[in-house]
Amino acid sequence: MSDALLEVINLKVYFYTLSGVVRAVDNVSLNVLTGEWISIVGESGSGKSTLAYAIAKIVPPPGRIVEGKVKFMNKDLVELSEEALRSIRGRHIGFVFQDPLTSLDPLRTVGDQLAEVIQVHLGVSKDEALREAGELLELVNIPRDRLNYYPHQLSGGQRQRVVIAISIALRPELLIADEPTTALDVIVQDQIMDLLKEVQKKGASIMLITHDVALAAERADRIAVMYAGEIVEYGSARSIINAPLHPYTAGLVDSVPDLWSTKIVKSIPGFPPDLRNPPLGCRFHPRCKQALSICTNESPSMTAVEHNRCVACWLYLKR
Amino acid sequence: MKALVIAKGLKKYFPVRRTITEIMLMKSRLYVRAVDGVSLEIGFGETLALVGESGSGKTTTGRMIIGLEKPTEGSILFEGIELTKLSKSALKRIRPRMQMIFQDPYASLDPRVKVGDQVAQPLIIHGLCDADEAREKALEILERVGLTPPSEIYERYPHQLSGGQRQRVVIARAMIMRPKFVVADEPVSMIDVSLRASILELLKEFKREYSLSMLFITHDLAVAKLVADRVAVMYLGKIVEEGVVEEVIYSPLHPYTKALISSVPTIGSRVLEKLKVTGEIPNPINIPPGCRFHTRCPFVMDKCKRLEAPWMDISKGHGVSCWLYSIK
Repeated sequence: MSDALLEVINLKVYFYTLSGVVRAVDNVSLNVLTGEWISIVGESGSGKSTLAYAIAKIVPPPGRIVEGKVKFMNKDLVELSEEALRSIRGRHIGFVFQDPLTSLDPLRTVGDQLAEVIQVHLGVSKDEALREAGELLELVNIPRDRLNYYPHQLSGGQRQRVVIAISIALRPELLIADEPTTALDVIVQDQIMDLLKEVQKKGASIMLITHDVALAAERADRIAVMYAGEIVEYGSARSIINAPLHPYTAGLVDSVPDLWSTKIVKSIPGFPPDLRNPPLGCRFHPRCKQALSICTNESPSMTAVEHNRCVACWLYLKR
Repeated sequence: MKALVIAKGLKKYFPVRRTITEIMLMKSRLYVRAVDGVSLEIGFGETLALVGESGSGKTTTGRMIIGLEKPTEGSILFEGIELTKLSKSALKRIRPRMQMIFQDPYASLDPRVKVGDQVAQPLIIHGLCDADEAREKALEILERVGLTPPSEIYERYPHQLSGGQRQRVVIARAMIMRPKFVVADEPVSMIDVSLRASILELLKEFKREYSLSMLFITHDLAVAKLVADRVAVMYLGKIVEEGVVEEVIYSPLHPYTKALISSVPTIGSRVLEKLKVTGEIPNPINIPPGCRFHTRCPFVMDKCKRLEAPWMDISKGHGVSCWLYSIK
């Protein structure tokens, strides 16, 4: 698992709103390796969801990919036509969104929706597609007879399982899950995470987008931390949690109440910047206790500090 | 008087609307048994966390205790006064001493009123002081909750503040009354992660300063551990386990509590073995007979399917309702 399945290079996604240009994703580079679980952690407004949408080129207007490349299976998705993209979305990149109710059609049975995906993409008969749909449901731990159910007849957790079943129906190489459990309770959240782990074991890469540091870390191989539209640090899940380098990462890890750790919980002072008008230099500097004078006017670039460990912070940059 | 708040046998049943055909067929009315027999006590200066999944009835319990919802059955004693029998005007006289902090700082502030005026308003409504004095006090409390400079913040409208700042306004509005008792319903679940700890810290400071009693409603056990003295775990309208926070978290008794604790993600190292359960919380219209949790419990016995387990105190201040702990 060393070759990159997905490579995001200097990606910029801006939202052109009436009150100004929101630089939601600003110069982000990231790769996803074959078969790995990478979690993108960030607070609301950090651009993590926009990054996920941009990968599949489904950024809602007034958002636009301004610059950058998304290399996936030897193609640059940014350059591809809508038609070409359609054969990649779903088929090679699966999506699981936050709210399962809005991802499912309330007027059609679960079986119908599952079978449609299989039928359209693989061109098999309806009966065969339905048979496969039943198998998929069992794979996500839902009894086969639920094929005839409508979404409202299922519980929240079951709906999200159905969404996952649909998104893995075509065995995509990459499954992007954007806050898939925020609408669910913790016990169900744990079950869904176990299910994603199963999907990973079958060979897919998982990209989990979440604001929950602990959730991001528990099953992930790597973590990338986003702040104010930029990735500030990435590395193995263990190293990010146990030895964070960037002051923001350290602050984030310290700010989360945790059942099993005795550390003192403290907030990061201040609040995230307005992305229409981000601060000059490092975007975290107004909240950073260790800020140097250079941090206020020059933005630090992402630098490798050790194998597979990168950070964008002047504290670790040799000038 | 041994506790500030004593609730006994609280029940809240919400009727389910029937369709016209169901009425003509004379189908009996169904009820959502949101809260189904909850008893709890909150001591002076104590914080009790009410923990449970969505649909467990924790919010409804909180709303009943503070008088926003009339219980179907049961009694609530506040400073020895039975709240359920009070008239509206009598309840209004007690209100200043009990305040509520809601989850959504966007919905709980009026978008068209300056935040300072919203903070000062309760003092005027309850006739505690005139407008100038109320303004003075509002400025004071705004500074106290960390909104500086207060004279500038006073003039702002809610949309000019961030979520965290708004929640501080909501807290200021509750605390300006110097209440004895506060119900905080998920006060940090809509706040940015990096700012949550400071809001919790603020609540703890007020608790110490005013020797506040607090009912802290949350779905997050880790948050409960941070703020509460005791914790009560709710499942499908009932409290299944209650005790001192550390005891409940580090030596849980009820299988549901164990499952809940197991599933909380952590960056620390777990001490307890994970207990996995299947399925989800059942519909509160059709509550399973016997123990409510038996449909998902890995230790289910025959008895559990028929009879509800009585409340058992296992050690001082740590009780559970589960057949696994009955003597025979």
